[in-house]
Amino acid sequence: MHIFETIPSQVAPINGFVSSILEKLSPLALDQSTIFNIKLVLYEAIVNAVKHGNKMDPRLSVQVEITSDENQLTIQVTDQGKGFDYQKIPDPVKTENLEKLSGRGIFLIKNVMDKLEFANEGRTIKMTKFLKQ
Amino acid sequence: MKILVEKISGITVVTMDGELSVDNSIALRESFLKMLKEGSTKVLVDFEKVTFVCSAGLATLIEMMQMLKKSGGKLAICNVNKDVKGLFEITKIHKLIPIYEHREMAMKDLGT
Repeated sequence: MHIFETIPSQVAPINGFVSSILEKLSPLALDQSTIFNIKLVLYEAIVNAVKHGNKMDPRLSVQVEITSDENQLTIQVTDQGKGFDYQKIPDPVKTENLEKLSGRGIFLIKNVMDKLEFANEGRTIKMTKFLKQ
Repeated sequence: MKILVEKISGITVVTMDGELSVDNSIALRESFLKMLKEGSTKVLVDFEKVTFVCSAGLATLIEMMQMLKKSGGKLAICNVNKDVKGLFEITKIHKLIPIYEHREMAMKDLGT
């Protein structure tokens, strides 16, 4: 399976965009928890790309590319912003950060996916889930 | 997402239905500000019909807890499904906001 879609840098279309991607993944017959996690990482990565990457600039868009085979599902989300240093993300579960109202997106992705990589100076996030046989 | 707000035995019970994602988090925050304005201090959010939460939803819950704490109030959550509970545990939200299995126990603890 190969999916390639783009979304403008706005928050409002994200719900519908994520739903349409999940619909396209339905032939994979993923279990309920995997669907929950895929939905979560799509939201987190796209919201980050729209808000922090492209800074809601209407001239910029976000690309979402998904590939899958019987062993794994890989999602790549790319923005057109300035990139960021992904090694400097604060740990949101440290006591001093627990009550912060932001900074959990990448942490959640790291926790629910099996592999997380960044490329393109932080403009691309690549997330992989190994599928159970 | 539908948000139902009821006052039961002095506790404001919020029942939601659907997904607590980016735009619905904004709607929950607006409802909550209205509850605060109307004097609610003990708030229980019933997650029985909530199927999904993202980090924006988690942030809204934390903000609600902080605002209630400032006014001497309390926030609790109940009836959370397995996947959402997993998120609360990963992010340690359960250390900030008490999470109950059933509404009755939450109501009892909030009432005291």
